Amino acid sequence: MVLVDIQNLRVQFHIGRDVVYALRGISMQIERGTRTAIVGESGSGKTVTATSMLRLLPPTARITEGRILFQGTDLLALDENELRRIRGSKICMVFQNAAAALNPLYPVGQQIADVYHHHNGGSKREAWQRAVEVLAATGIPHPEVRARNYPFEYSGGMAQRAMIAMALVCSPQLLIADEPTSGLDVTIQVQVLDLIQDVVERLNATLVLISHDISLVSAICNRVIVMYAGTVMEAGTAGQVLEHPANPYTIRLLECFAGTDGEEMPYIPGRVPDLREQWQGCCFAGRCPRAQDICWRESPALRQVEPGHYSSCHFS
Amino acid sequence: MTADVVLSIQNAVKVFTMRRRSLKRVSMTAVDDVSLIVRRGETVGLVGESGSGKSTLGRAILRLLDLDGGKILFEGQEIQGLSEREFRPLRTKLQMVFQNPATSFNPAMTIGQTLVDAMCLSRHLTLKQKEQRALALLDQMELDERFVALYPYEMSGGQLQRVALARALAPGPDFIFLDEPTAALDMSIRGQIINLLLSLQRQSSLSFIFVSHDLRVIRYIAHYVYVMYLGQIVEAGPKHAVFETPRHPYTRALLAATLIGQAERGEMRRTGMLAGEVIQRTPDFAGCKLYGRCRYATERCAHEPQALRTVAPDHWVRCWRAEELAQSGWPAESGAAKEELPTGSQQTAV
Repeated sequence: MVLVDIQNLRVQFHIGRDVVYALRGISMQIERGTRTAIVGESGSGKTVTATSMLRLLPPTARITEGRILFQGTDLLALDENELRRIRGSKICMVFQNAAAALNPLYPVGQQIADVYHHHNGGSKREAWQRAVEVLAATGIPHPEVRARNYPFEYSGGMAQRAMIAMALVCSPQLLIADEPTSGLDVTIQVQVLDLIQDVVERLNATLVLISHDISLVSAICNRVIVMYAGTVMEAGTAGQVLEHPANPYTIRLLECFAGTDGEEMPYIPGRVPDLREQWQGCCFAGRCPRAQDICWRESPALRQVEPGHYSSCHFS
Repeated sequence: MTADVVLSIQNAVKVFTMRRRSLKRVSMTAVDDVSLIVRRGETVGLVGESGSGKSTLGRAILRLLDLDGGKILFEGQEIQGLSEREFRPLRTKLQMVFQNPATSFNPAMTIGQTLVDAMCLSRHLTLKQKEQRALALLDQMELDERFVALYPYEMSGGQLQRVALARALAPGPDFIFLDEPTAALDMSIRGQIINLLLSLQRQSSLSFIFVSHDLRVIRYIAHYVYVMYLGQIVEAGPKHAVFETPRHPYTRALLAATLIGQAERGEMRRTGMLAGEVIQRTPDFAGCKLYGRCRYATERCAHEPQALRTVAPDHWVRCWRAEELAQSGWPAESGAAKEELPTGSQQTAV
């Protein structure tokens, strides 16, 4: 069953006189109970996609086209009140820089208790106890002491655990984690990923994990969507996309991560196209070794290459 | 000392003193008895997480700070204690590339001005010659002439990092300290920087220290690897030894966390993970710095300082159980340190 259905979403940013075309008509479906990774490099539109789902885009952004259906409801058509009932309780987000996402003026436990109280009512005392419980559940030592600490007293890894605890307190159906491990030390990254996987399993929730690191997501996700320059390049199960990639961009990107036996480290020559421009043809044409005339003329549609496996390339 | 050693660090120590809220002074040993050598034409990979002392060491080599103990010999000459005037001729020989290209350029200077400025100590060159050299360097970095007139904000991160490399090369150095030069770049373009460094080294006999926590990159660039944890070297050896037969639990944890997708990873991930976060010990703690996070720790690890010792020719490890653990295939046992885990991998039910 489809939990989130994004249809032809277009998002622009208006920065000064420039218009940045961040999402160029993307469509994707997130099935209930899956752990879906959205991977892409900087500027690919993966974070914009995630923030659009919660309508947390900055004021410079405009959604010009498309629908985001969550359990059949178009999130883009909701008013602020209706949206607030969904945010936090049905859809939760874990942000990239956890220490900055927490309010520096309140104890961490208080912030978690507030979220619980807002959505579930009940007494303040009960909310506080619940906050301590979830902090304990995310592996924070001495949770009753730590709940009274302020965010600056937390390390990066602990702050990320607290963010996950905050997501946990409302038992959401969908958890969106936007680069939850960037900025953390690699040995801590593994711990945080394991925690996310554990939490998602316990809540029986659906996970959308946004990351630039294909090798990280391959550890915990079972579906993968690859984005590039505001376009979905490839989508399918983790096995399909990571082991039998159909799109030239995915193939090259995987090589960069896995490395080769050669002396030289693989890379993709050229650079990402300027998102202020609109172009005909394929967004990867300028860097693609397989590019033909048609790639510069016509933009390839996302089409099925095998059951459940989609690629946007004229030749895959 | 053999002639081919460019840089030699002997027993370096750096202690930072901080004042806590309680006004008590606490000292933190950022670099703890570190010795390393860099040979001509060789790249040394320096691996470790935040707080391991990698950058402090780099700043000491470039005389951006002074050590509290130990020696730094560059081409046989002790550089500590030199006055700024005495050190100046060496500045052209020792260069650095910083982590974040976006913040390591003067935003008011064009790329051309930046490169010419980097040659300000090369008095024998005329301005015309410097400009020509700037162009040649850009060409070497696969950037065309028009970049000379651009400002840093007009360029992408990957392009800027190539300019940073050109800037470091401009004065004609023998040694470059590369402080995580690819960390801020997308994976698809990291290889370009790495390959440029490799080809530079083939052409001239440049030496590098390449700092990174990304072992995927280290695998291509380094000849010799030092792994650091909380200011100490915990493992050192030729690249193949460290990558293929890691002997220290911390090195194994790093490998398990970064070299994902490799066949042996499943097994490594199960037995290689570290518990909790970095534990800053007080100076009177004598034991192994990994104690409390290491699943193989025993009573002895808590009390006994660990020495760096050889386990194979030119392969050094700071762990007394290294041979025994390797022989028994890194059993999934857990040691005595369990009750002291600072943050849990232990899970309680919701």
